[in-house]
Amino acid sequence: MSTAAPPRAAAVPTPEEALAEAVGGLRRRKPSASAAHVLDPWQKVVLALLLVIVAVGLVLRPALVATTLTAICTVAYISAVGYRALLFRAGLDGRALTVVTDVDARVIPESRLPVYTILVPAYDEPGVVDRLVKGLGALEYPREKLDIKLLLEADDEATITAARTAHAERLADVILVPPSEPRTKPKACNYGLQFAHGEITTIYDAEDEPDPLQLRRVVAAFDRLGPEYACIQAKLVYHNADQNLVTRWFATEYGLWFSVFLPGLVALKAPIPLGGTSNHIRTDVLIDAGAWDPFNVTEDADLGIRLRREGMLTAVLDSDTLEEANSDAINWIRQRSRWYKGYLQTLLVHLRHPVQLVRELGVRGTIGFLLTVGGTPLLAACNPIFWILAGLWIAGRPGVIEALFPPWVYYAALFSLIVGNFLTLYTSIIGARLMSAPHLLWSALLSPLYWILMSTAAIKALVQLITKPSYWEKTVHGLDHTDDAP
Amino acid sequence: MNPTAWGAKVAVAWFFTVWAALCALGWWLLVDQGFVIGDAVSRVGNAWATTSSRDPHLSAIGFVFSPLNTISLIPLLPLRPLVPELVTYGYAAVVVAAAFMSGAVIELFRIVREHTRNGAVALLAAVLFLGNPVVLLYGANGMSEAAFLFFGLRATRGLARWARHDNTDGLVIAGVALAFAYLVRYEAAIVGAAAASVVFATRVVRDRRRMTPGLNRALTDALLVALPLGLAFVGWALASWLVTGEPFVQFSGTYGNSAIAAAEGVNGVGPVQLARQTFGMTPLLVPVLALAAYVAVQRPMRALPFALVVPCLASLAFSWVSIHGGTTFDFLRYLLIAVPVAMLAATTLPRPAIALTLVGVVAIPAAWATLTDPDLGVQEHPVRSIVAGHPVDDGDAQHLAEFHTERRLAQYIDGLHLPDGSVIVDTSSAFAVVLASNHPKQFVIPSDRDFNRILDQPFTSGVRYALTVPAIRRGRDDALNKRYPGIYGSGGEVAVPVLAAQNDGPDLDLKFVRIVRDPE
Repeated sequence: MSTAAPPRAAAVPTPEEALAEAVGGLRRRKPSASAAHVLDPWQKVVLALLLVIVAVGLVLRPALVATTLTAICTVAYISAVGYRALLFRAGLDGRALTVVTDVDARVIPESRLPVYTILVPAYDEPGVVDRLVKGLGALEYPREKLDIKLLLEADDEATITAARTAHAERLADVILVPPSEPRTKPKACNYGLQFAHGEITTIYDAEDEPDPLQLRRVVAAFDRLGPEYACIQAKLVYHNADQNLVTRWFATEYGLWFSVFLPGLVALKAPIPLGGTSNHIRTDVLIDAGAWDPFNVTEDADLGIRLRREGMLTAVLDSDTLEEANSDAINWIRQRSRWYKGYLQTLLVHLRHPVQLVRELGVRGTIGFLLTVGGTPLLAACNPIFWILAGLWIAGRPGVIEALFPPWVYYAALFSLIVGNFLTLYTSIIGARLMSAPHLLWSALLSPLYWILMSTAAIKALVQLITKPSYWEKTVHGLDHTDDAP
Repeated sequence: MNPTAWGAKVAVAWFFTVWAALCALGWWLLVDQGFVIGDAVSRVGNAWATTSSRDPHLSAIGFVFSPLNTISLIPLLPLRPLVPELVTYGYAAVVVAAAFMSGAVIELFRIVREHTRNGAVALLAAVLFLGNPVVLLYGANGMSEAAFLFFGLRATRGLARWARHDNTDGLVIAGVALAFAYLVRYEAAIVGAAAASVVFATRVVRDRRRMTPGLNRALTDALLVALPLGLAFVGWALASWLVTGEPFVQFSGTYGNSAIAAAEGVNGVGPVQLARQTFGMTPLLVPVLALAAYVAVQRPMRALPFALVVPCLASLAFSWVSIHGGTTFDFLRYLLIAVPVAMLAATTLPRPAIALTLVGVVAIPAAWATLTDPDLGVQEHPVRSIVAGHPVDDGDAQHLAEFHTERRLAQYIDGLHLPDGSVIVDTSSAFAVVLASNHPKQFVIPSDRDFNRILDQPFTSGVRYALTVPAIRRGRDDALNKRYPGIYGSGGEVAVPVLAAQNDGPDLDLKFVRIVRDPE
């Protein structure tokens, strides 16, 4: 890691220039990578054609169409479940996880540490600024090499006042982002990025508590892995896992995602959809790739794919950032539907030029992309269909089912239902064990119910994708009851 | 090339070498010398029915016996035009079993190497294992023991890994292997229960020392081992119920093992016989188990020897109980798992190389003597005639002529050039005829979904002939005999005899009859 200052634009941009760049930069330079428009013209044509075919077919030959749709769903479902099992196997033994010991992290002399930019976007969160100061203050990194940018919306009076009260300016540059659409986290980050001068950039949410050695571990990891690795994702862990059933499910799911599935993707050489925070990226690569897409509500996942398409690799680091899990089911559904909507946006954006996609990701990578980014919302949405089919059948072997579906489709659907749900349950138990939290066994056994929440979120996501694609549904934080109210 | 990639290539090379060798041995035994064990061929028959009967459908594999053995044959069936013996002799079963046995040898190798950290000792164990005559025989005769051994050893390896490192993937490997083992043989449920118990008990003991309250950890680990098998159990019962209306056909059905055993007049054997068979295959079993138990108690890592030995030993114990109680046949192969158990126990001893050599070397001549003894190797002893070059007695001659008559009968029936659906037959007795025929669709068999309807009204359904067996032994449960008593002797109420075929082999005689009318 060089200690020379990275090449930078000589002049600091004016707020207007920065805003224009933040909102429209990606769209201008790489229009086909921007989710500003959901569908390319050819995609619109294809989709319209498909809808017409299905609609006409349902009228003329309902049985055939229903069977074909179920068959397609089943095949996709089995593929997604099968791929998850593969990922699991690849990631379970922990080989693909990058480990940097405390000793190796601390041994780097301060002079060799690069300047580090930390972007902290916050909106309407006056209560958590205190914790932010605490969390970032604990980082073991030379203060003068930390370039922390607290990004607040200029019209967010409450948070701005709270920041001043907590003396945030001692720790960070408080940057006021001019209010503008789309009102999203990635836009704010893009804005702040232009005033940043670190060699490595990362994002933390206001309530995150990263492992104090995380930044040092990242530096050591980049050194060890070499220049083809441009991004390092740390593990996100929920500190309030035991709050209620929803948090238990969520915490187990997250544990599996970061400890097994992401490393599995690394092992299978598939692109990595990044997590919401604690993704550490070389700044020059980040800027070249176009930074974040302000119109994509899971800009992190999108960036991960885009980085990979540019030939940059991502590693998963064994270092935790503590976050707060959503404890309220309704709030959880809001957050999860945003994630699914974003995944679907990402899917549509990157499928705009399919040949190019395969060339850039490789066949394995493309399959991995389709089955994780596409498969995740799909699995959530399809499960209720299969449950309904199974329920109808158990309720008395209705002749309708037998007439509509040839046995092999029906049995395949039933089989995928059982196997899919079983895998969720089984992997959740594994998650409980991996997290050394054996009491999570009981919530794991109930995980098929978790799927109900996921399915609700998936349907909501599909609807919102059509009605308001770039609407960022804000997650309410601070529900973990462990705050001392300021 | 890094060590892991190199190791993987070596393993693959070994796998194919052993597989090829076993396939060659199997061809010689089956096609050249005529030595066959009926179950293997009957499974090929079921697999063949799913693709080539007049009503091909997947559920023709049947729900009495475990599905995996039959399903694994299906991909080989399209090769019949190239190698007809795959079907006509049932050689497909040999190919599949050989692959599994090769895998079993490799799993044993890995277990020993991971335990002793010595590749040479592991190689020694693998060679002695494969060199045991019963192992060689069952790697080459197409029976399901090979697959059971493979999955059993794989589960053992996973458990050993868990016992050693307390890691999760050992449990998952074991759990998945046990699920597949269940789909190979139902006895895997016993192995699974034993494995889960070992895991649970170990965890409880270890946690007590750590003073962690609650049983959650023990439950988690035990569930990880047991749940996949649970899924296999429920899934298979569900499939069976969906298709046949009965979830546990293997226990209740007329073609189930208990029914067959009862029909053939089995009523249990004494412990002496069982001992002679078991220790005949691996004489040092008891000494090595005793030593292993003694050593296990002394050493700190107690769980490891238990994890290595108990699951497969439980399967052996279950076989003892079933055979002694008369619910199943006194076949030597049901005790086959004693061979790897002895070797696994030897591995846990302080000087594994010596122990393994002793156990393995002593076993080889002993197993050969047991195999060739008609009282002990009930199904296997005809190999002595093969080695001698001529039939040692009439019994052997009969065994080695198994299915010859059926194949000739198939040629005769083919020669009649009958249309589809003209010959009704219950394949539980006469599967070898259907397999050897070049025109399988001419037969109406029980897996055809309209079998019962046609059986009731054969003449109007277009059936012109039937293949019948006498109503003795398993012929008592033959569908035609039950519907039309006397059809074998004099044609019953619907048929007249056409051709009687006295079976050169040990199976039932066959009679080809002409259907002349429907019943009243």
